[in-house]
Amino acid sequence: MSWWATQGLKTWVWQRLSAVYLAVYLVALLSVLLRQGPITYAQWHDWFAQPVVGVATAGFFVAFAVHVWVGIRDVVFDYVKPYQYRLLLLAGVVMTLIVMLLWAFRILLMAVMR
Amino acid sequence: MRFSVYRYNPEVDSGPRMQTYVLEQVPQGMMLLDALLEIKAQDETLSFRRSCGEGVCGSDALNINGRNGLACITPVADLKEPVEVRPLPGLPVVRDLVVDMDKFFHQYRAVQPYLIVHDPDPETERPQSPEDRDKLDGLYECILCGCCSMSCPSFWWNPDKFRGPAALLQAWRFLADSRDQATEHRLQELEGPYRMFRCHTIMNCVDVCPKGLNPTLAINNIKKLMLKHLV
Repeated sequence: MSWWATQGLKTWVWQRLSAVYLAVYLVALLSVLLRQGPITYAQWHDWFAQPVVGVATAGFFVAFAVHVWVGIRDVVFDYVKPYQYRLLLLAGVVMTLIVMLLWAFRILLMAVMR
Repeated sequence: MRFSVYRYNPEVDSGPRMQTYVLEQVPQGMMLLDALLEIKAQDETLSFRRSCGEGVCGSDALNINGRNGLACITPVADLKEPVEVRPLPGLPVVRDLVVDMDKFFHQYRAVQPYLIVHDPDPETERPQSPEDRDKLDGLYECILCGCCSMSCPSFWWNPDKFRGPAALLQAWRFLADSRDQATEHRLQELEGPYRMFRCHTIMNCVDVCPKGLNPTLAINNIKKLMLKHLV
């Protein structure tokens, strides 16, 4: 079986796993924020400077990128038929997600390092 | 009662149009198919498919007031006027309400809707326990009318690649059959981004099935079985 032919189940599983991670992370983040009440920038910064929170947040952005990739790929597969446009759009999405991820990692790394 | 019926003869017309018909007498219990037959008595150029007239053969599937269904089991008393009757959406129109079902049946054939058994033929039947037989309930009843697949946006966009709800229901019907011995082959055939995974759980198929079947559940069962075979 070619690599392409196996990209049904695996991407579907990744989409669901990333959705679970996103949901768990968001619920955890919201519950922490709601429990703490109004916080200052310094407290916010210190919180994200903790390695565990930094890694969990990096995981959030990875899961977000995976989820967005599968979702947009599905929309493109459904609606964009011309091969060139499809390739262009998918390449644009991948590039955007990579830049977004690197940017998020840089911000998180700076918070931990400072 | 007023009816607005889709008319299109590709050999003569430059494009489709809606034609209005009026039936003065609408007896109690009249079905849409009966109404269409009366309309055809008025205008014999109107074309549509029909056969059993009892919701068994599935040949008179139409788009009725924006919803796919079988004309023979749709009481006209339940329909808002003017009753808009169109061909099933998503397939090429042959003439008026008759569509070319080739793509639909191509996808049906592709799931190999028959038992595949590698063991030598038995002397008598292939027995099945009542419990195993029960697993086929809600699957074998499909009459292939096409209401589900032609209400599925994923099938509209990719009728040449996506198997569609009707074919996938049949794929699960044979995967669920205790006598079938081609599980791995069937699952491999459904892999890839298009054949089954174009289903986005929109569930129009479940909503319109005239037999009350649930292709979405069948598709989810196939996904679960695939996952089981993966891990």
